[in-house]
Amino acid sequence: MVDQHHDGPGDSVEKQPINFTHASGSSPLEGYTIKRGIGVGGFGEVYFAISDGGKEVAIKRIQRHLDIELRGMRQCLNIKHPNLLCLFDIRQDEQDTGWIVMEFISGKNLKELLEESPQGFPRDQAVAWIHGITSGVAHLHRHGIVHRDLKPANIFMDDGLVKVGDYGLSKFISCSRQGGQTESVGTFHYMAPEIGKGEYGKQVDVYALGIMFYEMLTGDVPFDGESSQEIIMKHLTDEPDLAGIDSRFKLAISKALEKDASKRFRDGTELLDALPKPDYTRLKDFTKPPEAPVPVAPDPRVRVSETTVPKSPASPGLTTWYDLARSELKSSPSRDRLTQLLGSLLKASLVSTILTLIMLPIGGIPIDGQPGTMSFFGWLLTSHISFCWAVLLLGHYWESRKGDETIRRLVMFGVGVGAGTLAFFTASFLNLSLVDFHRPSGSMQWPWMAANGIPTLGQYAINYGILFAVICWWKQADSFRPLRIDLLNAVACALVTWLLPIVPLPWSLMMAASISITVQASAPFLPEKDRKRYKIQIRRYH
Amino acid sequence: MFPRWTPFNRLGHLWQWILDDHRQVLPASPMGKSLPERFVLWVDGVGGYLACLSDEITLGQATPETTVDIPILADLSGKHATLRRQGEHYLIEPAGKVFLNGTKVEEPVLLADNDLLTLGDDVELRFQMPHPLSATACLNFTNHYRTEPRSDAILLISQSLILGPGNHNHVVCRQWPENIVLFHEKNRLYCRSRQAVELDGQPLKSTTPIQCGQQISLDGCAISLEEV
Repeated sequence: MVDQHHDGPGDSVEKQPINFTHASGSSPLEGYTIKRGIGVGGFGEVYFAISDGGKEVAIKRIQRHLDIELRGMRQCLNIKHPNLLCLFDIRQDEQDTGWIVMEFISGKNLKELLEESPQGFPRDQAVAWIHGITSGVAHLHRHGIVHRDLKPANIFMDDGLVKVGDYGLSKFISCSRQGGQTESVGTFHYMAPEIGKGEYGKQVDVYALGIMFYEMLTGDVPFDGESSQEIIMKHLTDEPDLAGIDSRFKLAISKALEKDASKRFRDGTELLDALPKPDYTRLKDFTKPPEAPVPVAPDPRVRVSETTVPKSPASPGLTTWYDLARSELKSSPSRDRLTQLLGSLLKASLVSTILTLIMLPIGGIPIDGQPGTMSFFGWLLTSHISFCWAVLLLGHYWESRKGDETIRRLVMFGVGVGAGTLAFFTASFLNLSLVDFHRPSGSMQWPWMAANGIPTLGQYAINYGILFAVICWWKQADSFRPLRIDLLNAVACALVTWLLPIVPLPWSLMMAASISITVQASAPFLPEKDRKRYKIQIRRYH
Repeated sequence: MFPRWTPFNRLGHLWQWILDDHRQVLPASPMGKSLPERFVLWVDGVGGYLACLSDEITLGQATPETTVDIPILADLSGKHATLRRQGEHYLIEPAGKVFLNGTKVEEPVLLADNDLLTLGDDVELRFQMPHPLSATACLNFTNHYRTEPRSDAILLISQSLILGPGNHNHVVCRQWPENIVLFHEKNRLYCRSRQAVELDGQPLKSTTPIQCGQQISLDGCAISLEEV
């Protein structure tokens, strides 16, 4: 079965059979031969045509046109973006009819695809669609163009890339709408409430994007009705029902669908920041768009002066490259993040083993295979690994977030108490007598230490807690640290530990330094070329 | 609706009746020029289709010098495979690398409805015989490959080609009020429908063969034939 293709960059293709003005084989526009009609939009017929040179194009016949409107189109003619349908030319035929020559896309438009999926798209697909559409619209907004007529019938898919069509014709649309002509009821589903007042800001597009995202996730538009009046009324008064929406998207959709335009995202770029990034590795029908001018949150200073929109938690004012990188890390797929974490934990175990083996002879314990040596080695190694793992886990959790340092230190203290308890019980499990090992350094005697030198559980717990809390260990596990392995860090850690009455020399120094080295060697590190990319993005906005 | 086709019901008596009815009105000696073996069928609002009338169809890479019936813009051999129609059955004869539903094909094999053909590394074609009473088959690309000239699908026309709103039609035209059936006999196409059909604006008789360059229309639906 050959399915019907309502293809091409037509706009809302009328669903009735149409008599096209021009038949296959005719050339109303010099240089192009019409092959077949594609459809009829609100203001002109769209044809599939082939140029004399063999290029396949879609040509749209603009029936009523004013010079001022064609000028509006010309503004869009040279805008390029992977998610925007390409416009090639604007021409006039001998009868002075205007023609728009544009990219031809075969296949179904989003409206037809949505009709085939009454339950909506799978979440990953919906995210990829809305991300593509919003990227294209954000690009238009950056060029000062408001689409004004975003709807699924204007969205296409070409070779895995989402394409937004029919931009730049907005002036026509607004005219025909005011005249109440040729607009079908379906169009009202995507119309923002303020359009009734004749307001056409960028927020009109944000609203339509919100409706489309909602529709792709649920299969239904949020505001539906029997008549256009009913739909318009619902746009003005009803709150969208977000009960069935994934909590990850609720915030973005509810903000995009605010009745008050000033409470919405200011433009496509701001909405894009609040949307999750598609995971193209899991979407076989989509291709990752080539690197376009990457939208980043615009300069916060401008935002404050221009509107009173409260800051969205998803688009904080980013001032440094690592803030930007952190915010992007938050939205990166959790599976990749988990793989990265497991890799670094494995690396930490390996490095720990090597460093512990090096530490033994330096600490005066020969590697002789005696049971005593073996159990001491085992204890040292488990303590070392558990310490490193705790740091790596917390560092991994914290690196995508902003947080208060005091709270982090308190958390580290708690984790340290846990690690100390573990070390104590491992020692007693291995029957280790650590009297020699734990002889207090210097003459300092701390209240939680036993006077006879035999370590107690409390001593372990508190010692470890202090060791965890005193140093900002998580900064050494951060992907965005300045150097992959900074030996000065290791030296600093050793010095700080030396001042603490925890374990005797030389163990304290060696342990602290080797943990620091292990953590730095195994924690992920953002490569230089990605750093450069973030730095360039940040510079563009400051 | 017709039951799912089997070799027994394909030429069921209903179809026989249609064919008989059709034969009665055909002139004994056909008039008019015969059609070329392949042409493009342009259907307004629906798509463009590469139609082949012959029982033997070759597939291969689209090059300026190509002589294959279905030239594909892909890294294939000049002549990559042959599709042969025998009665109501289709055989694929590989000349280059061909897979049928993932299994490599070394010698001619029979195709079944909904089989997936892979030519070369990744040119995927879905073979379908959607209408239970017609041996006409359709080939659809399932990925981004295409023929040159562009077509939305390839139609291997046996005796009849049915266009209309129903899902089992060869070309599904959802907005059409009525089916249009194109009959193929001796490289001539005749058109029938329950509603009055026009050929280039004149009422069309079911005995008049359709030529390339002509347009068939019916209440807002239009089909044009173009020589490749």
